[in-house]
Amino acid sequence: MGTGVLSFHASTKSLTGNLGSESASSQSGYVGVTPVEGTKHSEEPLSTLLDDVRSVYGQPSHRLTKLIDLALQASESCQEAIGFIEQSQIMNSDIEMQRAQSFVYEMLPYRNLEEGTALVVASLAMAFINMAGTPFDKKQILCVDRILKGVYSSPFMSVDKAVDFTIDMEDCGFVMDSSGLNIIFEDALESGFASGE
Amino acid sequence: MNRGLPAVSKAFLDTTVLTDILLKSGELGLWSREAIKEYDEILLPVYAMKEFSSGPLSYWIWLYNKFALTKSLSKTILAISSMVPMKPRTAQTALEALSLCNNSIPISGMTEEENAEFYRQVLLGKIMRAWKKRRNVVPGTNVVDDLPCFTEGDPLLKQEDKTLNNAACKCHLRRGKDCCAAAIIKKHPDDIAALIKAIEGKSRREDVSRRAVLHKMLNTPKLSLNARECRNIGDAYFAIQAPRDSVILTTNGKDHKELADALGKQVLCPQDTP
Repeated sequence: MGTGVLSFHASTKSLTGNLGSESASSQSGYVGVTPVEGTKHSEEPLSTLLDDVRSVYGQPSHRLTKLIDLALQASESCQEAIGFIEQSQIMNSDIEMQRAQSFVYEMLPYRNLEEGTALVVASLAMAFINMAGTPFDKKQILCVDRILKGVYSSPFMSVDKAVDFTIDMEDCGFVMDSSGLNIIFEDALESGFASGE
Repeated sequence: MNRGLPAVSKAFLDTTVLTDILLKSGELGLWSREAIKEYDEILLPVYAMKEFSSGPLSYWIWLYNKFALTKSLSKTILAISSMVPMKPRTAQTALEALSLCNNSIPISGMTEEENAEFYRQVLLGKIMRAWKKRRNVVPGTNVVDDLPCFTEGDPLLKQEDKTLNNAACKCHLRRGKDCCAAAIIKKHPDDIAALIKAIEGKSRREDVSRRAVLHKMLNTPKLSLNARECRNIGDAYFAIQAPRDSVILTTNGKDHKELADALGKQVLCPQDTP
């Protein structure tokens, strides 16, 4: 039996459709990120979390298990990064955040459990893209960790909850816009796209 | 930030600044995000939120829905380009931006549909975040001039096709009842007259429609305004409603200054910044 740390927001109805089914994306030609050697990964928290899933919803799907596992590993990297940054070991902290980044990208094909979950994982990935290699500060690492904990403890997240998480990210200085898309669309708006000029 | 203007501690936000803060990131909208930090009190009229909802937010919802319905990044880009007469520079920019979009996808091997789904979800976050933050653009934002006939309904996500609908956010004028914004403006007939004089003889489409609605409010104040006429008040609303001890913050300085000058009020725009 688990610890009861999970807090699912989705209705049973929506879970019926999600659990046990695999998305097209997870079966596509996705090229996963090779696990980084030396990544610390405790089996205990994952099995505990999955026990919680089983106790509430029965046998979890492969997608749910993968998402929780990857979020957990990414969170562990964040915690390592926080430890390093507190000792002013910026390089080691950044190495841990690179690991977290690769886990977040690996989460993408498994994110479509619920609209909010998908939104927050996609936004997290976009925030990493926009960081463009700049090392994270402590506030930002803590923020990413909060979100990852949110994902593995509430993998069926509502849009409202996910939006709150992205507001937290924005407040920590993350940018979750697509610069390419913004260029196209802002240019179109300036060209009179909406006014018909 | 000393711009050679009398020191004021209150900023009255117009729709362009609200849009910059809520929908733009990075260099885009930077001026607005920096400018509001200069003031002790930020006044946000509900009219700006109304314009934001029916204008910029609805355009981004249009873009979001293109992703939801076409399930394709390239088709969405084509849809954007078909809406504007593409200048060569714009076409070039579009191609570069498309390439930027494709390169920014963090994993390889995603299908066209999965690619579009990624952007759709990022846009869903952007739109919902902007709407949720509208009343608190900076901590302590003071929302003023409530408009009871304007309902601030949240954008609704349709589960079946993932489209967004912001129809719940609109004017609900009761038959025979006057537009709430008009009722506020009509209390200032001298200001209305001064604004009419300021845009006398101007032939731009927005000036013509603004003049018509100002004339109607001044000459036949008992006649009600409809939702379209309410929209036509536009910048005149900000000129009349900005408190005398505030500055109107806008990125559209040209239009606002013309009107605010007529009433002896201050405007600050990016062109005023050294």
